[in-house]
Amino acid sequence: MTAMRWLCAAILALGVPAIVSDAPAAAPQGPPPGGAAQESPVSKLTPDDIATGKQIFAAQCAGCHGFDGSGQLGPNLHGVLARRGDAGIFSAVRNGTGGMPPVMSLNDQRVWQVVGYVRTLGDTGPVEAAKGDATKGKTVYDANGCSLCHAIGMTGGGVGPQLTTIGRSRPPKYFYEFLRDPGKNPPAGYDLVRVIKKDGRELTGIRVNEDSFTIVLRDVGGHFYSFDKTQLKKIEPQPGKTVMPSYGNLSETDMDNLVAYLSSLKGAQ
Amino acid sequence: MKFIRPWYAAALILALGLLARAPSAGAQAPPVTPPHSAHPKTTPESIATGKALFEGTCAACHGIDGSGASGPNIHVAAINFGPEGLYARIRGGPIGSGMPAFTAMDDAQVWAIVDYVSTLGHEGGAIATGDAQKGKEVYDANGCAKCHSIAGQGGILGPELNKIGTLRGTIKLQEIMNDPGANLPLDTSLQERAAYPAYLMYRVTTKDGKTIEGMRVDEDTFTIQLRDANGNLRSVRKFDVQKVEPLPGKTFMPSYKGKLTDKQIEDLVAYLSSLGGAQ
Amino acid sequence: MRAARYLVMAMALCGALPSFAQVSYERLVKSDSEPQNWLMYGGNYGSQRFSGLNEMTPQNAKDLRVAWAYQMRGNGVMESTPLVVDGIMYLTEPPSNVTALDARTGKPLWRYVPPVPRDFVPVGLFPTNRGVAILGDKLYLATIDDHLIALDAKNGLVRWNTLIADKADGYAITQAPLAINGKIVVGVGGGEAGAHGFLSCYDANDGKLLWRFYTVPRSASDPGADTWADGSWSNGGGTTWNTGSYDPELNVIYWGTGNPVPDWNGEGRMGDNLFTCSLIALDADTGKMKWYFQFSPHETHDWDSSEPPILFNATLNGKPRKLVALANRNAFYYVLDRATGEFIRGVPFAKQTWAKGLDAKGRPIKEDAAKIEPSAEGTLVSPTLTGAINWTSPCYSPLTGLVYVNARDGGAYYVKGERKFEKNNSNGVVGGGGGGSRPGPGDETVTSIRALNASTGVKKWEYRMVGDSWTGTLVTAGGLVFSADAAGNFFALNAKTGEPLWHLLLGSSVRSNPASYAVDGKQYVVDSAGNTLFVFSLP
Repeated sequence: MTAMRWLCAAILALGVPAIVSDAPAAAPQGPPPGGAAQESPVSKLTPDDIATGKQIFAAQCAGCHGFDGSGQLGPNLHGVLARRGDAGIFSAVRNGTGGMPPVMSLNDQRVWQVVGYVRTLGDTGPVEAAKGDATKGKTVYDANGCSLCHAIGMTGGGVGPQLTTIGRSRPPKYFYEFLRDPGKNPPAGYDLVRVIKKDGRELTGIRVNEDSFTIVLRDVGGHFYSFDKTQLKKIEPQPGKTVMPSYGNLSETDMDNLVAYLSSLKGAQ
Repeated sequence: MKFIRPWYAAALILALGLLARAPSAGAQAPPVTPPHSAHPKTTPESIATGKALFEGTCAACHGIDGSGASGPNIHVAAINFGPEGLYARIRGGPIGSGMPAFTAMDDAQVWAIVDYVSTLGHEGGAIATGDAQKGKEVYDANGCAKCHSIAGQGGILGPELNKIGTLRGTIKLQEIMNDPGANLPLDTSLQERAAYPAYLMYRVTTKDGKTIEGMRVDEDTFTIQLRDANGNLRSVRKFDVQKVEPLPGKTFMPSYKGKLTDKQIEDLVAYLSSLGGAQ
Repeated sequence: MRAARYLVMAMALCGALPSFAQVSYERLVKSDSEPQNWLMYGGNYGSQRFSGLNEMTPQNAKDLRVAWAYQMRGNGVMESTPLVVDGIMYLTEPPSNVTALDARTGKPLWRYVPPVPRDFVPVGLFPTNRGVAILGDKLYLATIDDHLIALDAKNGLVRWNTLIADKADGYAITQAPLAINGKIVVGVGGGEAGAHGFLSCYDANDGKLLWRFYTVPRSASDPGADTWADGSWSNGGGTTWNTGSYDPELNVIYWGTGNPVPDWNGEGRMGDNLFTCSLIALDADTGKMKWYFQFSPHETHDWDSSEPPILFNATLNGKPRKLVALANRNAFYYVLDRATGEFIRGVPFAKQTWAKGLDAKGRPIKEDAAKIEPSAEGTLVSPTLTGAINWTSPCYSPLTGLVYVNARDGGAYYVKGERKFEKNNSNGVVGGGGGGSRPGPGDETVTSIRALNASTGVKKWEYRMVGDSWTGTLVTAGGLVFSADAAGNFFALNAKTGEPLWHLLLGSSVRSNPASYAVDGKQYVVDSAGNTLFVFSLP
């Protein structure tokens, strides 16, 4: 009985303020702030605002951008602050972009709350410029067979992610860390999983999707393997491992140049 | 189950309320109409512009007069949604309908189309010549409210008459009084049935010879749903019965030709014409 | 170096495992020998939509159930026929997205979303896509905004992207391209926007244009120009908006052409208006026309002849003949010799009031103009503007010798209006074709599945539905015909007798063509209703 009592008390304690605060209050309406002279609404956001922004994101944005914002149908939002700025993120949500519809169901206050959350995604420190030579970096890229697995524009392979605009979503610091140890922090969609079938045979591949009843893996040849879990004895995720080898053995110059090249990949402007 | 303490109940209700409020993860918020200019005054020019735009852009799917082609009949839409609702549908492209969102037209163009579309669906008009006040007395004295409602009062077997003056012109109303079965309205209850006549009478003969008569609510190749004279819904699987036959020309509404004098019908038509709100 | 070792391992992995099986041209020619796969939009090059699978039969059809469902992402009307190649399903979703699914379980594998401008609204058609083509290791997609895009079939990466036409000129494309030997053939839509029709052929490897055939003359000296009075050929029309067929032995492409412009107002364009509302037969290597047959000369009811031409062989008068059948929007079913274009037979397959009949060459003997031409008040004519059949496909069974058509009986009031076009450079055309139609009186339009003798057009049986269905038909070796009614009841009929055997209400209209495939020996039937793709199998 006491547990029930605590539960009800908790619901009442949390629920009443939640319902009350959800009422459309006098929200700051009007067009998003213009120039740098105006104080950004972001600076007025409280931790509660950001928590609300996170909730709204989970409910309305995650369907396209993934629950951690790293992208599914819609793009990866990590680092979007550096790419678009606060006003840019507001505008993308309010007015839409090429692929994203405008979100008209949120008032301005709510959109700023979402901005407050989204701007925390990914690496949000100031982005330093890459120090190497991008042209020389392309030679390093070509010499190490990267295009076997990666595509830039219309050429290259599809085992790993496309790199056409990678310079827009990752700072140089990320490339240094990633190239040395790709398995430490692979992007979503590249988890390596090993399955052992009931007949003892094994297969290791990149997990394409998984649910309660099925799992689909793909190999580096582009082949898909679809299993009913009833066919499998064991499913073993392989954290820290990835199909991509480490490039930690590149010389410091080669590494700097390669990072500069990757940082220069921003797609058509 | 033991009586629940009031504050437990309050907590439960609150919890349910919170759950109902929380948008489901991944659900798309329905598109809300973007901020737009107010509806300017409707003029013959705006209607003419709207007609030209309609025939150029909308008629390909909705038919030259909006009565449907590969897209649905929109006469119902014009009257049911009102100007703001029409604006939202043209701008937003109703979800799941296949209608694209026309975001590139400017506001003046969309409002012109709204003005034109709002003129659709009115048939057979002329100025009413009877006495609307006397017509109301005819309405009340002849049991019309048994099947029809006006402003929430009355029966549900026949169509609601709140906007009948806008939907039907006087000539049409006269025809309906004389021969209702030949002048059935289109179905306004379901968007999917907007091209089909409502209140069509059907007779179903069951395998043991009994018959059910009623007005068709919906029908497909395998099933038919009827509403009988008591207002009850009867759902029939065609494989389970002997015969399903339409009864063209028949309907629950009797003809008033001969039951009412010509003057009474004239007054009644004047009264019905007055129902529909100011335009 | 460790990097090199890993690299070698990776390359070894690539080599050791079965590489992605290519779909060669030879496989496409012999597609009937792999009934477990659906390798092109029309099932095979003859657009027969016949499945060689026989697990599902009239005896067990009552046990059919939903194996899995897939809900499309986004808003729009799904009209796609998916391809299934070795266990992978390639589906397109509106406006022009491509999704790869595991055909056995429905789990998504990858998706490609082309950058179609959000505010582009084509005139007179839904922004949707009817399917991709596959050849070699690439998929070929035509987008609503007129691009032809080659995707890596393994992962959806873009390999080349070529612009077919400018949407500012009224062009929009919804069809599935046709892949032949090293070449991709694709047409264009936009007849309601005054577009000039053409058929193009591109190199499958790099997207270079190999040939283009214009269906309406572009100068007074082009063939057919004398069938357009006063230079009215400049109006355009004759779009090629629905996927055609191919005869690999004759090396001939067969494609239907659409209406002349403006649709309902023929005054300014007296004459037969070649080569609109016709079947054109082109040499696949050069694009030169070998023959044409015009179904509806000087057409004024928007009865495009863009229906799939069904290629089949039969013995007529003791002689083996190569034939092409086309169930036309104008309500006549035609049988022609596909080598020569000779008219063999033409009979109505649905209600029509516009022609007394066809003459010995297949030319219609029209009723009096007053009875059938569009007018300001509206002239009641059958079939409806949407036609006795529209874009969805009939099918043909070599086992029964029958063509199965979803036929529409109905009429409409055809209204003549003024022709007005306005180019809107950012979004295509705003404007119209001079008129339209409104529905006929009394009864609603009725659609029925009709089984016609393929060589003669004589009706063997009919299954009447309620409502106006827009679903195509599929026939299987197991003896079933699949289609759906307007409410969304997906059903199976006995292919020999038309007896209904099974149905399931899917909850929304089925605006697409059914197909069938198998994975691991198990047969599946697929069709979409509303936003959802349904796949059926036996338990």
